Amino acid sequence: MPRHRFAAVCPFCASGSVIDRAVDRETIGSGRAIEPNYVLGFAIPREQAEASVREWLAKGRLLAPSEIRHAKISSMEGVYLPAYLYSAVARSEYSARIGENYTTTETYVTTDSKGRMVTRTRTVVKTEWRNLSGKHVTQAADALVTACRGLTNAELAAIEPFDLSAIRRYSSALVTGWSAEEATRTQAEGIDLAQEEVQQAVGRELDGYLPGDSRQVSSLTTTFEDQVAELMLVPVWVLALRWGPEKKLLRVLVNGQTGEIQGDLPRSFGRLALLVLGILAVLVFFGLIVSGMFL
Amino acid sequence: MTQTLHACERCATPIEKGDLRCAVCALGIPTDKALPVGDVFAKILRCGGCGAATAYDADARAVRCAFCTTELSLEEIRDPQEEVKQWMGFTVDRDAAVKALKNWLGRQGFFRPADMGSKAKVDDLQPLYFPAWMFDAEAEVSWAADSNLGSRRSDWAPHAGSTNITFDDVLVSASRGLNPKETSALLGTYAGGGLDSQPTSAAEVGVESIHNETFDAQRSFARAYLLHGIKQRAREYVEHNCVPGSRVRKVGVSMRIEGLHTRRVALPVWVLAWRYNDQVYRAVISGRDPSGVHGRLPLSWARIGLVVGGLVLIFFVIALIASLG
Repeated sequence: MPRHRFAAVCPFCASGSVIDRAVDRETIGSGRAIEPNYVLGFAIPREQAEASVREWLAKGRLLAPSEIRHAKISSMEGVYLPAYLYSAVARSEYSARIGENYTTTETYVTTDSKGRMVTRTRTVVKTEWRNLSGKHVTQAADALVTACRGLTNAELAAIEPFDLSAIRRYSSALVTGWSAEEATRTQAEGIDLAQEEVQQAVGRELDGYLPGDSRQVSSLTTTFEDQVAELMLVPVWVLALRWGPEKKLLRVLVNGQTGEIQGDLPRSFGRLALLVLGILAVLVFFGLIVSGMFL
Repeated sequence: MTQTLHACERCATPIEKGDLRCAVCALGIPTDKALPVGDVFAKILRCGGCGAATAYDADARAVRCAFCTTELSLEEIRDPQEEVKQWMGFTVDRDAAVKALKNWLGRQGFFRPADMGSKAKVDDLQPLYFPAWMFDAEAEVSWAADSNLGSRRSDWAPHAGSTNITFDDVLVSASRGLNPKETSALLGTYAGGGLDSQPTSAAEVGVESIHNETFDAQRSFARAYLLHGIKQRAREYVEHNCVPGSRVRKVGVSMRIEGLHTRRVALPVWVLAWRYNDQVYRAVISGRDPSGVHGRLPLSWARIGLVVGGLVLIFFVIALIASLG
């Protein structure tokens, strides 16, 4: 079994095995540093995940390289990937400019239907900008960030959300028969990633929190208290396709609970060029018709 | 009472049986699961039923033996249906409820039919217990709002501040049968009402039976709804107690909650169907306070027409005088 995995299926008898290695908190990645606290079980069986990927490939197949269009997707693997489930109290201080609208009547000169210069009035909405500084406090819960170096946080975010109401206390029984990855990012790295996510969420929340008809946040500083990052295994179907003469890797991730798909489908430059030429040809053809050359 | 194990280490909210994480701040409940040190060994899980190796089954969403299909149990969040644990007793009986309706109909102002109090007939009168959450909590609240204080060219000026709020025996309705206007009118009448471990008996209020509306929510939904309700209460508190000025708008609140204690209670109400001129109307009367009545009422179109006609006549007379002068 690879060092970064702690659960797999026996190739001889198909039995699921879980390895309990010694705790090695110093060298995370070489041993299981932290036992997972929670697991989210798979809710989508392999057949359904494969069908979703087939459908996803079909949507983008027109411009995809032929090796991908004809690829077989029978090699999907269900993997429990580690993620940190972060919660904390987030305190923010902000400075903002708040726009308060008001209406005023202004006079202007215009030309009437007979070409004469006339003076008229109209009501216009103007904005008065005021400064506002204040605080925001929230209990940030359920921020989920990757704990695995092989999976970027953007990739994990692309297949979120996971249904946390199905959360279970970790038990090796749940991952038996599946592949399960160890955490290869430290808890501190996880907390850094989560803080970034929470700060962005607070920034978005401020838009609905601040008064006024319009608002511009000029500064936002967030500090975190009582931080906890607990390790959770999340269910992901992974399809790794090697394609083309250079054996490039296409990795498709499927949320094992919801079926949400993430993957960067490569484009064939030849097909893209053909498509552009085709569109140009059609445009030229219609242009000639409109200009009367064929009439 | 709901069984609680201990309080959350971070926000002091009681943890209930079946919780894996705190309902308010999401802190995990600590376990004393020690990892083995030193040895490396492989563990193959075997089915308790037949001894075969087992694996998690995505279809069953459980650990299932491939040979005998026995499912193994695992610790997971228990998300039970909410249940009423305490009842507030009826202090308004059937006769008092009918009298309360008559009194209420008799003081509804000029635009209501004058004979409404005497002609109204009660079609149906049902005592009912409706479900609600009663909670206590401490909240640290930051707020931002517009008010007229300090306004210049615009009618509004922005303000911000922070405050601490203590919520004590605050009620949030869980009824699906009563509409928000009805529950809003009723909830204030239950302040200070004691709770019993048994409902009031039907005989005590002079009827054959008392209907019980049950909670129609699981615990996870209930908590999300309750937190939403607490935020709404905090917003109302800030609007009336914190924002300076006489006119307020766009109140935003953010909060940190501590020590959220929740009780699942049933509150007493009389639901009446009454008839006036062949039209049926509904009214609700608090089971604790006969002055707590709410319902839709008929309008007297004759009186409304009289007022509108009078106003038109006055306008016409003023216009006539102005044209003569």
